[in-house]
Amino acid sequence: MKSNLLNFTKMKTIKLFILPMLALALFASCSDDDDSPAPVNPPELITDVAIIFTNAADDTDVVTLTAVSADGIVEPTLNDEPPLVFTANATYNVTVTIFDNVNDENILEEIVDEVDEHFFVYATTAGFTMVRDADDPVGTLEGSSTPHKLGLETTWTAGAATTGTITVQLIHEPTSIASDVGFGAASGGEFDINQTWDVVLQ
Amino acid sequence: MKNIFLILFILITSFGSSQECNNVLSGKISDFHDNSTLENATIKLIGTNKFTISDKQGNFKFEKLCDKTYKIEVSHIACETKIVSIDVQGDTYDVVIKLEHHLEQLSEVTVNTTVTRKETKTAQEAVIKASEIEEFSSGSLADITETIAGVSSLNTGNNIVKPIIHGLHSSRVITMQNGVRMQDQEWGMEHAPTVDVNALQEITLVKGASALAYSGDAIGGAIVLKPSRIYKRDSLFGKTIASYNSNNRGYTFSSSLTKTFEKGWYVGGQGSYRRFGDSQAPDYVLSNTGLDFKAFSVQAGYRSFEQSFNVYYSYVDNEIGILSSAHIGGIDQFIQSIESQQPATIRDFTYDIRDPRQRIKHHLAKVEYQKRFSNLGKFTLQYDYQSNQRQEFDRRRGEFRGVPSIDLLLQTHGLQSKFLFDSNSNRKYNVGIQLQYQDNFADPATGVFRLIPDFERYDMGAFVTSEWELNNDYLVEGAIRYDFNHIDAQKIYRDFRWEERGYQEDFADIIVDEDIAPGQLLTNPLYDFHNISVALGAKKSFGNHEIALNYSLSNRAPNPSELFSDGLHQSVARIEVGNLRLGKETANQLSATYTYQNSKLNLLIEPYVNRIDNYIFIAPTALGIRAQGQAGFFFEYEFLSTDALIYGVDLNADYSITENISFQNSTAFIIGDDLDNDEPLIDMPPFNTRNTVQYQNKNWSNLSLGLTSELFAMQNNFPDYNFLYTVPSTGEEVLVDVSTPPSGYHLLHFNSSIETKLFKKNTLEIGFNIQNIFNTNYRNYLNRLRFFADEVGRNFQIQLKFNY
Repeated sequence: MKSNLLNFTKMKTIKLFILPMLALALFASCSDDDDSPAPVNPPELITDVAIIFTNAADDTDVVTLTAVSADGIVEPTLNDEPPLVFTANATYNVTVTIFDNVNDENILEEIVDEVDEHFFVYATTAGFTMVRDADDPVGTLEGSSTPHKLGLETTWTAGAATTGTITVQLIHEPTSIASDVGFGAASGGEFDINQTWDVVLQ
Repeated sequence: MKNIFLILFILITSFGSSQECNNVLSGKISDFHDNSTLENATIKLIGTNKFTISDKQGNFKFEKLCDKTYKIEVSHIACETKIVSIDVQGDTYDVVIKLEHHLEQLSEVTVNTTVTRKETKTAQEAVIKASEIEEFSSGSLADITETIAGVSSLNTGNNIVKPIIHGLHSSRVITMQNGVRMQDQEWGMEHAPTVDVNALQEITLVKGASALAYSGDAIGGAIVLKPSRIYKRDSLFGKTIASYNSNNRGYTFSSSLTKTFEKGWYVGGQGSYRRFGDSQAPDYVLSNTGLDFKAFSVQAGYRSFEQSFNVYYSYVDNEIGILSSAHIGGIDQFIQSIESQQPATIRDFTYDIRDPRQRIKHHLAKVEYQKRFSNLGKFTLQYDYQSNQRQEFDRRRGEFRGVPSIDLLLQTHGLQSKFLFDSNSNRKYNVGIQLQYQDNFADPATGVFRLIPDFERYDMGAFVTSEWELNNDYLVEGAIRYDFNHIDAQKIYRDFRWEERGYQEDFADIIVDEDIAPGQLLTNPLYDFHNISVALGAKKSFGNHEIALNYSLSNRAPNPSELFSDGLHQSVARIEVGNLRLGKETANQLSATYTYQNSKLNLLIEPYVNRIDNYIFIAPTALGIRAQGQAGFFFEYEFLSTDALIYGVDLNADYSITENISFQNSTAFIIGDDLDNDEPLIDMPPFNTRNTVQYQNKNWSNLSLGLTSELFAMQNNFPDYNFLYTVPSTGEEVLVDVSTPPSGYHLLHFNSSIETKLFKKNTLEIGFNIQNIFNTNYRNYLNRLRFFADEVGRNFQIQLKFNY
């Protein structure tokens, strides 16, 4: 009797131990859902950026700075080889276009809608001065009491003949903004656009 | 049949009431496990004043017993008391009563025992007890393990903290939660263990890969977490901890309750809620560093000394804010941040958590059955299921505001079966197999290219561990394990990346669809890994001294992040690129432990050396930077492999100066070398030493006062990844310093507590602590956000602990 019992428990032990082995077979046979993953087509891309400078005194004198990134992710191609040519000492009216050509959207509209959390900062080493126009969209940063001009509509005055660069930065959700000093200054947030073109004034 | 006999028996005994009581009952008390005899067991006949004590051979004898059923209580100093019924009809001989006499069980029976259940006997190990864990009720797992010499923390801000063991972290360190290997996407540097520390009773940390019963790929080590144990007796017990932190105005509340029944059934539950606002550095608010943590666990089961059954479920929902100023738009802003030496975004204090943030939900369910077989051992069968959802939110625009950029769902099924042969306490064997199936789903609704692809993973492991106690002073252990891993991924590459990495030449055969979308191709990478792991150790005692040596060979298959990742980590302005060519890591580790112990001093010196072939690490690509669409340049890093050598020594000393005053030191020194490139490894913890003076007086309401000093030296061994960068807007050339570690620092902390008795059985402990007493400004080399802000400043903490 006793030895039977012992055998029985030993048998049971072995059985219990083998159980997971059977489960392995079950494992291997189930779950074979090899569905292809859906490709991601990112929205809210910025593929095409253009900064359009129109001479206030001569509307045939137009200089357009473009940056084109085919899918909005690869490094964009800039049209500054050879450098873009401006007329020295002229005054330019400047505006910006921003498109998502993958999803066929005008991103600028969205940015103007969300003017409270966007801000253009410009920079140059080519001796321009700049003011934000009266019709420039105005927004107010969260937590701030001072409205800021977005920097979409601006007027640039060229200096003497020189070479240098023009930088355009669009900042999303900056934490502080100074819109009425020079080309504008901001801290915090992150860049939606940050491009620099080589230019010549002659 | 039995019942008929019982009725007959009752009839006979009732008729025979006039019968004389002159029977003899004799028998033997033996150990359930190995049948060894138990001396000095007390055998008592309940309801009488008769009792006896077993002799050297475990024998006992009663005389002058009546014909009736006796209830006998058998107790032994190291055993669970057992009550058995014995029918005495005439003289009854050779009754065998088996008691549960087992070290492992001892700790479950005796409350407040000092017996520690070690995972290995010869590897470097540390155990953290409930009372120490409770001090960190508002901290993270890594905050607790950091108190062990040789264990550091890898931070992403102040709420995402993961343990580093001997310089290794993430996939190289496994976390065992109540017997289940945590699958919480531990591969990522900014993925902290999804664990509620308030649910833990004990933490055992094994440095190195020797705990082969858990895994063969824990090259760094294993952190074994155990929930509250169930004591077999009829009771209702629990505890509640509440704490408040001044620094982040954070409060923590945690409560647990367990009901046990005499028969061995039990049911228990535990819940925690933790809400932190923004933390504060000495000079400014660390905006968006709040935390919203909810967790609960329930368990129920049955436990007797022959079998046990346990059902366990835990849920963690953790929402973590990421420092606002760390979310930057490329290198230009990174440079600004380094130059300004303070965060770009400093807002007023708030509890609100906004983007960027992480939200992690982790479910863990487990069913376990254990049975002990007399004279053989213990069998365990376990099934577990885990679901880990990780969502990472960046600041986004328009309709995608509030939509996560990363949304991964990792589901894991595990099945394991073990048998511990422990009937011979001098030679124990543990044999087991483990199976695991894992499925990862990356939700395309994020509208962002998947950082980690969809994949399925199958794992199978089989192990034998053994422990031989040669004599009282000498013990050897050995373990061997085989693992098989199969990874089946569905990875979409963008054409430019596929070509740039030269995959077209080497991996053309894994392409499934060349043009699944414009500029994208679908591949099906398949990987098989066969790994053998070995651990060998020996331990010898010489009076107060003890020396243990341990060698381990372990292998780790590359994780999905290392193989496949491809995307932008906005929080460090870094694009991370995986590498299909990676092979497995192979680690050969040798460690030694010297222990000296006398009544006053406990000294531990633990040197180690770990040689890792094919060590996988992340380093800048050849260019180091890449334009990300119109947003400008970001850092670009890729996963590479090298041969690495890591060595160091940990030191731990406890000294009782007087009965009430003790001193403790823990010190760690580590060197990591990249042998192929002849330079130091990145992210190696700097030299650090921690000294504590503690005063404790049991007579004064268990008053405890302590002062801790922590010194972290500057890390001088680091790879130089700095590079020159021309800032486009100004044309200036700038040295981008991404490598130089911050200066060393010294911190001082204070802790105190006092205990009062409330009612009859309940105690209330009140604690008051100060962290960073001098409000020191510092930055930590092992914090990935160190470029953007200082660490947290002074914090006053009040803690109430109520045991019932």
